[in-house]
Amino acid sequence: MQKIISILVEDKPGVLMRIAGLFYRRGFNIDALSVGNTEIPGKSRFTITVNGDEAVLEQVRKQVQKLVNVHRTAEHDMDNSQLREYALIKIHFTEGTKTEILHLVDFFGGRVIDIFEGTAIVEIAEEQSRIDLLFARLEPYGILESLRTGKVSMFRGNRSLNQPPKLIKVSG
Amino acid sequence: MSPKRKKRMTGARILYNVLMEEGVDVIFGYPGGANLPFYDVLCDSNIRHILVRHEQAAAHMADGYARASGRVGVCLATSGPGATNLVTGIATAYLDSSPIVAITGQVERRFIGTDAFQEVDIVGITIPITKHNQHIMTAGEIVPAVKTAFWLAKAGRPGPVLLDIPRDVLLEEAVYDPDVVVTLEGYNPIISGHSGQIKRAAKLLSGAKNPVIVAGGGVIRSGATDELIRLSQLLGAPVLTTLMGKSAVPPDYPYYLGMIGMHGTSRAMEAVKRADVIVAAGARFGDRAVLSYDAFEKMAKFIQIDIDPAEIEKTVEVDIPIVGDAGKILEELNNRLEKDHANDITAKPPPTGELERYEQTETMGIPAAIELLSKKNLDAVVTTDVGRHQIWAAKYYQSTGLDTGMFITSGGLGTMGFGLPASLGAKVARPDKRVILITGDGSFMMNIQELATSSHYDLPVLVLLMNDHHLGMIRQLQDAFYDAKYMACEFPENVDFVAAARAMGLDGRRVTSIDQLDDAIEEGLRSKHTFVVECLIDSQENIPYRTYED
Repeated sequence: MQKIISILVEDKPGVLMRIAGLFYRRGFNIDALSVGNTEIPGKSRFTITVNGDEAVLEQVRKQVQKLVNVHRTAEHDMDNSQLREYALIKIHFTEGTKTEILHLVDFFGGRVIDIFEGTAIVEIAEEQSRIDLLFARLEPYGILESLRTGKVSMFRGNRSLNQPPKLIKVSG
Repeated sequence: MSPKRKKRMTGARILYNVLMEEGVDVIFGYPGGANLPFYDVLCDSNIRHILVRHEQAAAHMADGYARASGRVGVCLATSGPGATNLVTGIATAYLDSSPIVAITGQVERRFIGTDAFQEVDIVGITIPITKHNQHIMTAGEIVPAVKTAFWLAKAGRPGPVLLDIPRDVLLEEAVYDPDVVVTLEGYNPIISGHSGQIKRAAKLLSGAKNPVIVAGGGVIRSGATDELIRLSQLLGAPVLTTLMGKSAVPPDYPYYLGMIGMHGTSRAMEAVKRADVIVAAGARFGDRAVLSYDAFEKMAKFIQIDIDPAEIEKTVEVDIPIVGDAGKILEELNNRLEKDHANDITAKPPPTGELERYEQTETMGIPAAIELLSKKNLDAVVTTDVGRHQIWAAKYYQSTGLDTGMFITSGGLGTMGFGLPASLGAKVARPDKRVILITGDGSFMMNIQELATSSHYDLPVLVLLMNDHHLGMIRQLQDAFYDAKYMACEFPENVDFVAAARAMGLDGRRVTSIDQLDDAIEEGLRSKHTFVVECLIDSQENIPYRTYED
């Protein structure tokens, strides 16, 4: 089953290796991964999409939570969160197909961001199913190149992963 | 807090000062180009340095020191091969939750990542086998990094922490501020158990017909023996241990029935099979203890107490998990049982019968030798190596002089070669105590060079060496699972271990029959130095296998 896990980390070299290593050890292939800064200086947030046995996955999440550089982890789903993905799709067009393609992209909430040498680059930030659909509709026109960022997610309402930190005094 | 304490000095001097602040009195180490600036400071210092003969032994000694003292053990190696030689020792400490801090030298910052001479990414290599590790990239980071390392090594579930310091960081100057406040955000161990869960556990136990308690290494690390015994007496419940839990309760405790698992005692296994509620305290349901997860799960209801949330239900589904320190939780559980359920429980009397002992004591076999040693009831710390002798020792070394936590063995990683250096580390930690190493010819050979360290620093250990000219555990596995086709498990009789001891400034005695053994042990006990009692073992007796299914 597919799980979406957010991880708030200290922005330090090697954090990705530490986290990825724990998934690797228990045989998980990370389906998608996105990392970026947050509003808190020095902190980054991972969103990891992974498929597999739920109990083992919960185990891995606890292992991740034990890393010193990891400050918080949480699990997201459709009910508690907004889930988004971003994709870029490069597609061939001709004078005959141009209008159809533009309409399709518009209909699914995408946008053409570049037109050059008979190709267009389309961007879309949407739920996974909408992006899947757009891909299916564009397929017949000939996709030259595409990429997807993997999911990012945010809890609905007041819940936040980036709560104020609880500091544990080691010395002094 | 006085500002006078803030002074500029080199990284090496800062490292020395902060180690002193942490109360370090001994370092097990080996020098090399990258850590020499620190050795320059260690000269004429108040920290004792034990020069090992192989870095692996430095890590095992720090581990043995930590287990015997309850303090953090420190080992030190240079960059590259020095650092990689520590790896087995660090992994051993990781698997058995032993608090050590490993410090490695690193090539100068400008050479990092260039495959420079003696450069290796030891931080990358040890990520999966440390609680935490880090590069220290400026002298100013040394104090917070070291303070954090010592705190982490002991906090929550103990374990190894590695610090990697480039040579030029040891040489550069920074302000030394011992009073700096160091905080952590990401690591917050849970100590007190959830009161609701403890309530549920008390209720389940008060209605149990045959509750049993399984003690793991966590009971020793937490110092939870007294509360464990209190629980056992409240319920009249037998206490069983895992291999790592051996010495969690005194061998003569009337409710103690021995070890469970693959090579457990039959009484302990019977008690588990009869149980309707199993309290596992600081035990992680490892594969050697549980054998078959499916069969085990069906047997009883489980209460699992562990300080590491990641151990909860890692292998076995439990009915009541309680995260926290074993001692704290058991205390609260006991209070709860006394307060709410005093009338529901009738404590059962202690089980009848003796602890399983080895009966055939006429032939020169490993269990017979251990039985003989055990009967002497010596007040001693016991370390073992890994193999058949280890398991025989776990089964039959039941000396009443075995103090809590003083059966020191590599349970998780099963590291051959652990025993001798661990026993020396234990001796450094507990100079007042006698230390006995029970080892085999295969394991002993893996770090035999440390006999030289023993004679160099006069660290006396009594070595009981079971020389059957075999890798006994390999032979047993080939007996059981490979139709007794023996391959690569037999050694020729080409090593005289007593002569090897003599060659390194020590002494010993070779024993060929069981009736000479007591005399040889007595001679070893009288000796002021490490003494190797080499037992030439006649038999190839295998350890019986147990299951929960029959």
